[in-house]
Amino acid sequence: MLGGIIIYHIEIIISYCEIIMKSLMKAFDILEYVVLQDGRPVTSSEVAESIGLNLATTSRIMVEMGGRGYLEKVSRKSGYRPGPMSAAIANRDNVYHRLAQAALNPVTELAVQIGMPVNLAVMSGTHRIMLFYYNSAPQWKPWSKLAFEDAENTATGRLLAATLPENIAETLFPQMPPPFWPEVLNYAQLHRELAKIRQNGFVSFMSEPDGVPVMGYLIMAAGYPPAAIGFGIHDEERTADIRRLSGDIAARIVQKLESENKTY
Amino acid sequence: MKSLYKALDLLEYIILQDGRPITPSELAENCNVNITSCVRMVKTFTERGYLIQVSRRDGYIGGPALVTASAYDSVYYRMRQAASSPIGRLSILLECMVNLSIIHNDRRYLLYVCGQTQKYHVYPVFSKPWDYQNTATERLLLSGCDATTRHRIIQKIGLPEGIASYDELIHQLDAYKKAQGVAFFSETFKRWIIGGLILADGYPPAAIAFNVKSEGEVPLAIEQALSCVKEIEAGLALNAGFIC
Repeated sequence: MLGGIIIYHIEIIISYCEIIMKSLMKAFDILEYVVLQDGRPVTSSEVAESIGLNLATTSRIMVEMGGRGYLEKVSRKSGYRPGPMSAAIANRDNVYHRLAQAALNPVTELAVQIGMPVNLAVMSGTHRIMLFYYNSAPQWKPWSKLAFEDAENTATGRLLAATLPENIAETLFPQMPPPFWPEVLNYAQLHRELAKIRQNGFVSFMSEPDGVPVMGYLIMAAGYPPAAIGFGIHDEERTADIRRLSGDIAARIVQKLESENKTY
Repeated sequence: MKSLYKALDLLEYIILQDGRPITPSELAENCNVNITSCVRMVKTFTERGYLIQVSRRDGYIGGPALVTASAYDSVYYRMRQAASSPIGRLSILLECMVNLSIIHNDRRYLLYVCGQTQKYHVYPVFSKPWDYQNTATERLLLSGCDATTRHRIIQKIGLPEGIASYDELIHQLDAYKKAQGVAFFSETFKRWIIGGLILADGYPPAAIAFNVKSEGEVPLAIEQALSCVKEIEAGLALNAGFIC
């Protein structure tokens, strides 16, 4: 009898946890949607419709996030934008903050020189997360999500996949051959290709189906998780020059991180 | 509402440890959340990239999504970007910690800080109760607020020590706003507290603040603070279209 009561209570706690987790996931979906609008205020209706949530729930969560400073209400008509906490949470020391800080000026410089957005990414589990990007092309629109699961069609995807253990790397390429990397016929070949990428610390290929040449470098600094910079090339005549330039940029980022680690 | 706020309490507790890994047990103890909920919440945060697990033994630290979430354009991102170099130079020149804060929902939030050391570092919270007596930031932020917000905050915090009336406080705040700066000696910290008020169209009022040890350092500190403020305001006025 007592055992039955204990099990019942544990089941209630687990059910309660499930409810909390679902609510938390919705809160993240909402926060990330607002953040990804790059400063444009959004209404609860827009958010609810875009991410497929119930309007009442969305409104409630946005008010709660506003109460904690993660969102800020601009007006009843315009809606919400990111609040001060969205900036403050990145202000405390952690390896990703230091990575982003070390890369900020070099990546900005590269983006301006090549006239294309350049991004810095890391892995979080099996997701690739863009730590930050610099956009030097006014007509370009930012990505629509914070985390990405695909690896085959982006420079940072292939570079970071090359840093993962083989069994985890395989999960990023569920189809063989990968639709946008048809030269890789099987997993053994995938691992050979990734090993080459890891050794070179560099990739350059034509990203399909857009047919845009892309390039990227690994950032491997002692004491930091692997990171990668990636970008497209719109002036193919400058490819060699861009390769040299971006290689220097990647080396500068590593040097900055490793010299900071030494003083620290 | 409680469950989301509890989850945010856990996340913020971990972030505020500045890279020191935290176990679910420590979280449960410090955030008054049961261990089962803690374990599930940190797992959810980890799945979304807001935390990463260092190891089963050591626990969790802030993850990459924290940085990403702040890297997209927003008013606060631009303020931080505009302030980072001027504040960095000020911190090096005066050899002290300098912080940048704003008001939101009647609370002060720290947006950026430079020059922390083991001995001098910011308080372990994102937003703190008002301390008009001992901080330049709070005096300046209050001076930069609109009249309604000022009145509401003053009603909450009461008159500071040494101020006899509401009118006297308003007069003091108006003087700070006009000067866009403040300097006073804190009996509590035994240091000179210096601050500068940043007023830029399209941005909430913000303040930089720091402290120096001796009275002799004050004139240069004030001059440099005001110069830093002007540089930040100029950066915000540019409203750089390339910020991402």
